[in-house]
Amino acid sequence: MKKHRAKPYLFILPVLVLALVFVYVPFVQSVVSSFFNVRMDGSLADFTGLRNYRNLFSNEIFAQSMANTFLFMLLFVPLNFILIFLAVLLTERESRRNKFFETVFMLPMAMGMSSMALIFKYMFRPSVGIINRLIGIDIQWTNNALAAMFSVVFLGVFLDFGLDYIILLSSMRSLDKAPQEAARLDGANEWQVLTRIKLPLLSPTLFFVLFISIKDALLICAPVMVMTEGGPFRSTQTIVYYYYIEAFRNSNYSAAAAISTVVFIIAAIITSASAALDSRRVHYEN
Amino acid sequence: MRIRRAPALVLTCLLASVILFPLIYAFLASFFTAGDFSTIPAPLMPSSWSLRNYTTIASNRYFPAYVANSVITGLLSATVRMVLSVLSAYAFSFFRFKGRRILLSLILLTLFIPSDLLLSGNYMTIQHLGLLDSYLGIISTSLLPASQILMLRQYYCSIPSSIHDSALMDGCGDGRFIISILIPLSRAVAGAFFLQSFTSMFNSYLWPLLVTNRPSMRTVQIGITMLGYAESLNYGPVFAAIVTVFIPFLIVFILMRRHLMAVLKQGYMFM
Repeated sequence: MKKHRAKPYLFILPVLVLALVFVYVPFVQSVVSSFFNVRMDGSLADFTGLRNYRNLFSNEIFAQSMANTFLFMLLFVPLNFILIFLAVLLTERESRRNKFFETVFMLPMAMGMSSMALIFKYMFRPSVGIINRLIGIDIQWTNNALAAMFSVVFLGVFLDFGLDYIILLSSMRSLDKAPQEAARLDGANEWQVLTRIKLPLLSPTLFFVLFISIKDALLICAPVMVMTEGGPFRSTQTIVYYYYIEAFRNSNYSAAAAISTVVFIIAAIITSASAALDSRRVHYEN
Repeated sequence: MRIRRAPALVLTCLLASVILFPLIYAFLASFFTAGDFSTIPAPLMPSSWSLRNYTTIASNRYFPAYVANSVITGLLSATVRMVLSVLSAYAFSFFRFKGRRILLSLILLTLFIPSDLLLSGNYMTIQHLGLLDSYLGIISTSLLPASQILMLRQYYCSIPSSIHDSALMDGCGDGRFIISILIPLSRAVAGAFFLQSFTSMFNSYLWPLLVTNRPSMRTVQIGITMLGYAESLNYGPVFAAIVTVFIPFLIVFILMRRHLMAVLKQGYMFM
């Protein structure tokens, strides 16, 4: 029926070129470079096997950046999850009032990352910042490592809040209402309806949001750059930020390639787990 | 009937005020004088309501250029993404051709590779092409609309291919079919995609930061971190700039809330 054989290829050609030039080529290049000494112009000098990786794994800054990233993840993922789940529970019912709250909870999405990071940077200044005034304690957000990490975590929660909220809210609302009503008729209370019926039905979406936030935590970089520049004393320098520094400040392309390959592998594990869960999610919708 | 009403409402308001606080504070701080920023205890309200920070930012040497650059690159990127995604989704939905599945997965797989880790490779590509400090360089890495293609394809696959066949039989070309059938059918989705693409280009940070050196080529989200007022501890103009940039987005987001929600809820798996 379709006569012009070449036509569909022509339609997708630009997209394929973009995918090759801006994703696959740099990806392969970066993985290959991680086994070589890389010159300043990006060309490969000599094959070094696993030396870049050995250097990396014995490098204290790498270890610290990894530890910082996992600490960020450990704080960010649960806090993000609890707040979003709470917001969804509170605005689950469709009503005029909840429409207003939905808009409010979506708003952080409309704010650009660097704008939000600047606002947070100024709000969290010690002594003269509004946050310390409101809580009444003068926390050294910029000088204390853990406090600085927390301030970045709060920023991360704000940046992801809107999208995660919409995902969870819409899948909560599209749950089949019949089992819930039946359970209520049989005398189940709201807590039982939530934990026995809604949560199990929702679990694929919940896991999905959880995995996405784990991946976001692994890859966080730009918000940290704007808000703390990795400080104080590298205590908020994350692994992707470290990659950025090695690549663009130190022009150490071999190290950058090895770091990115390590992160690719971790990200691939997280992403494929979330994709596996996502395929389970499908039959609950529509 | 659900959770007990009154405590739930209080909790909702509390959470909403926490979420809104940074935005409200940014608005208030955009009226602060330099002195307000170093007053102890930190004030919530400006000592006087004057538009001086806004006039400062409007007469800033680069700020108008930052905004213009962001609007131009945002529109360019969103338009190219729209055209490319409609063309590809059309090919993937209405044509059978060799390698269709493999090519589609090749596009899908790009979503699994974290783009921030490709920065150094892409930077070298753009440098070799001589596209540093150019609009094309700024938008280059945003042009691959993988998630849009996948969602539009899903959408177009629900259109019976008999419509396509009979349209072509009646002498309707691909261009006509796309313009007079596909696009009207997917107008709402396309609108939300356009807004989403525009917003993500407009707000992107790392890539534009790398590929621009000349101040006149910087986009606004980079520009506001380099306005230079912060060095003199006068953050007022920075907040005025943040609010100026945010207001149009605020309005569009509120107006397009429903469309956005509809697209985001099915499209999130691709983000």
